[in-house]
Amino acid sequence: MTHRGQILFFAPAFLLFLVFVLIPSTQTLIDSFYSHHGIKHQFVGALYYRYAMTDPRFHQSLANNLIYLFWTLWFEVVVGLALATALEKNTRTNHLLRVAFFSPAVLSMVVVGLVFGFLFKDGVGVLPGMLSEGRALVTTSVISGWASAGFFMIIFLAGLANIPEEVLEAARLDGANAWQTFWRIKLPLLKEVIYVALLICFTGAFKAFDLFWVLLPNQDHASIVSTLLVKEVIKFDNKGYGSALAVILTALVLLTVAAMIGAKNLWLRRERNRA
Amino acid sequence: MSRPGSYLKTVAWTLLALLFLYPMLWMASSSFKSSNLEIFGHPFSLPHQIGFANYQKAIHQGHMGSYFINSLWVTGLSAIAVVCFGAWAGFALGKARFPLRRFCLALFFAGMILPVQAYLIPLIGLLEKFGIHDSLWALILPYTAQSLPVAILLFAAFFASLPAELEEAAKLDGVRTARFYFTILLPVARPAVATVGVITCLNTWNEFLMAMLFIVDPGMKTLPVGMIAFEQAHNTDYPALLAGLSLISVPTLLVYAIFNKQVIRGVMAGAVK
Repeated sequence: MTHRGQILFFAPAFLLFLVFVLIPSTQTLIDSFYSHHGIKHQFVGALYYRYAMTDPRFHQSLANNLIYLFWTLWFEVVVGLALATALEKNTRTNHLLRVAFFSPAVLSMVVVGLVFGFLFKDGVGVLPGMLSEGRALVTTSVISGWASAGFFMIIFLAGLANIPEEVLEAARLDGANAWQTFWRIKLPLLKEVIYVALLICFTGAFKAFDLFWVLLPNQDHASIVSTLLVKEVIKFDNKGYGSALAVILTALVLLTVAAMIGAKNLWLRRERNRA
Repeated sequence: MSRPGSYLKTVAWTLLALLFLYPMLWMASSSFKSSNLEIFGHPFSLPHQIGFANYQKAIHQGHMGSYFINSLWVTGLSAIAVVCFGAWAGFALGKARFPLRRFCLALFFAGMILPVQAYLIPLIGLLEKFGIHDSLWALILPYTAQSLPVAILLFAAFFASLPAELEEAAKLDGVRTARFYFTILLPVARPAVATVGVITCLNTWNEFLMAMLFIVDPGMKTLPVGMIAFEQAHNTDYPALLAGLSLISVPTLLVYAIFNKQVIRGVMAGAVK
């Protein structure tokens, strides 16, 4: 294949990615240093970033992101791991149960948010009061877990299927019970998969939007950075501050990934030194 | 294990599965019920009679019919574009001699991690500048661009895993690259095509944030955004709202039922959000 041929094959995808992802991403960064009034732009430097540092709504939103991250770690990842371990054997019943636990993952989060919103509605719902100010974040995390635990279950099932049968057989012969086998054999061998799951969970906690927007509209105490920035743009027409918040959110996601990759490399080096 | 123990275990798992499925079962059964009283007064009972009046209401008064058709167009065209362009780019990147190969792979990996918020806000103005705001293209093009990184990485890995002899043999037979790609490689790549296609369909069908910001014209709304408009306009007509919610969900649940294997493969490739 000639280079020209390669470029031709590559060009459509790259152009779309360039025009609709890369260029706008750069534009967000630029916009965050300008104030926007109609078509007038004025350079304001790091004004919006300084403002974010003192904005209690941003502090609250970021704190909510972190609380949400903490709870989804349990309701999505740990529950997913528990389900995978319990349904590991390839029996007919287990296949059916896996389908039941995964199926919410294909629903739109708008559907999830509205259905639970109705179920938890004060006055009429089956379980009223779940979305009150003190409980909203935990409830939202549980709903997130309901929608995504099956997703993590699938990831962990793939990891469990990769554990060689001989290893488990050897543990059995040594008289290890199910509990010991899980903690001493399976969990250490699932290291890679757990790493991927944590990466998805951590970044997902910052990327979340739909569920918060639909389930908790007008509840400012339960806003997260992504809903705050959309409100800034569409309700207050404050594109500069919205862009600055978008840059901060993006930086948080990228830093999380970078930190995780760094931690992995450090860990691998330590393992190698020990060996 | 003893009999009573395993019996208890079966009961416990059945209960847990029912608890998990309850919100969906409630949505589906309520969509046939005739009143709010029947929905919230008897939340655990089946509908008295099965009728499609709620669905007719959702489709006509709630405009869910036209939202459904918009969603079909957006999802179908985005999926076709992602599969085509993704496979082409993956084919080119799968070759070791591609210029700046490692840089491009890293770029698409970054694109995969990048949250949508990173490029969301300027897209509103950009789409207006292109004159495609408030049209289905305002969704199809960004959705395609957004889904391409994962698709490209998946295809590149798939094509790189194919034996090099395949192309050598084709070359000896005098088959040109383009023809080799379309007649030999693409049929071999069917599993990757199916995974990318199915996953793109699911993600695109459910996408909410961009659709909410890029579409103002009620006639151009897709299902999730249309559903919110429907909810705001008829916020106490629960039978019709739940019929609308069921209408959005049935296609994705069907896709999962039919393409179970592709969906699972997509999850493991990290392509599902």
